[in-house]
Amino acid sequence: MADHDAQRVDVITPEGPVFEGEAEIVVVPGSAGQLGIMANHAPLVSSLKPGQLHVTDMQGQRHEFATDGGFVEVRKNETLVLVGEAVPRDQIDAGEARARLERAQAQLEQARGGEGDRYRAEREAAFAEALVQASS
Amino acid sequence: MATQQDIKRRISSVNNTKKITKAMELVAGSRLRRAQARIEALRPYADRMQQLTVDVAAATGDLSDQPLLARRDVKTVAVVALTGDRGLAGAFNANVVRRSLEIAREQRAGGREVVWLVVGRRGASTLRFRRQTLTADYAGITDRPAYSDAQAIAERVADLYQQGEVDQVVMVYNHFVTALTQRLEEVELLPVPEEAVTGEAVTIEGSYIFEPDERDVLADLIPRYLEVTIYRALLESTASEHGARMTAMRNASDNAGTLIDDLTLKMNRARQAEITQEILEVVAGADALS
Repeated sequence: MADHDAQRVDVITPEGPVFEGEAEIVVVPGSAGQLGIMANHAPLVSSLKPGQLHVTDMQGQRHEFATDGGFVEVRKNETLVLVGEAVPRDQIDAGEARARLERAQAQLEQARGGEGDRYRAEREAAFAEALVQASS
Repeated sequence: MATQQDIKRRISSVNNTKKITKAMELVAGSRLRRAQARIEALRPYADRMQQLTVDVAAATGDLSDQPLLARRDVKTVAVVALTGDRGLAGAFNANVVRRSLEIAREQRAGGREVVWLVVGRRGASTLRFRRQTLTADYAGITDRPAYSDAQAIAERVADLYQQGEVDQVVMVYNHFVTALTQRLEEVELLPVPEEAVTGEAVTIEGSYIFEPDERDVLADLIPRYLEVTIYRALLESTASEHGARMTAMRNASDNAGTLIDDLTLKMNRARQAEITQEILEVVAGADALS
């Protein structure tokens, strides 16, 4: 796939970078829908919702992650993704992800009843959902 | 006078204590290194997030409608105190509690109300004992704070601020310097300080496309500043706690070593005295017979 230009891609979490290097395309879960970003994309800043992110590097290899909410910034041939958490797809334990989703949904039920923080419960549920989807 | 047997028993008891303090020292040391590594790992995220916030703020221009930047008359102050779940760490917990109570006293003297958010069982139990009412307390997170723990605290304080229940939020925690020294830090979390959003913006050709729009993106970015600041403080506090515990336990181990030396000396004296006594008795008996 040498017919595409390279762009620099950084995917960074508070625990450290999970992807750094040249890539052909990166697809992120934008708040208004999926965004596929290739080299020479127009400058852009978007918030991200919890979901699936994947990067295809110059060797054509795909790196997939389940990510929590965050941001993407695109400058000329530089794409920066900042997310609260990013778990590589092959490191997700399907059973654990489902258990986490069930816990989050129970919390969300409670939060709707007025107990606890609803916003937080919603976000946790959305990220758990992303984990489950990535693992299936 | 203590007999040889008594002293022997004490030596073995001190020896056991020394084994425990030595083990705690080693555990604290390895946890300290892990916490330090995580502070390092956070840096790129924190720096890039800050730069992005500055860039977006510059592109937005008008910051007056950002609720977390809005300053108002202070009637209620929230104090966020970061302590640990466990003791045996020197003055680590006591310093934070003492400074927090000082702040509370000053604020109350100025006619403002004080509410508390406390991280760590130690701080929570001491402050409750001092008859303070805690709005929120967080336990079980200080050994290995996760980013989501910081998010929970950040959301809570942002919520209190936006609801108008508090007008200012300050945080007190131990900043890690070395295993021997921690520096007590006080930072203002809310309103978000101007420096967090103003700075050298990176200029680009043309202008950004914003999704949804710049105001909403910025409103989404500003709370991240809170999260990162709280997360970093949690990590600093954890590193400080392990450092303080490591030092306290090393001192305890050293003291135990000195104590064992003293006791061994005493035991040898007691043994010598016993032998002398026996010889005297034998000699006296022989004298009596002759």
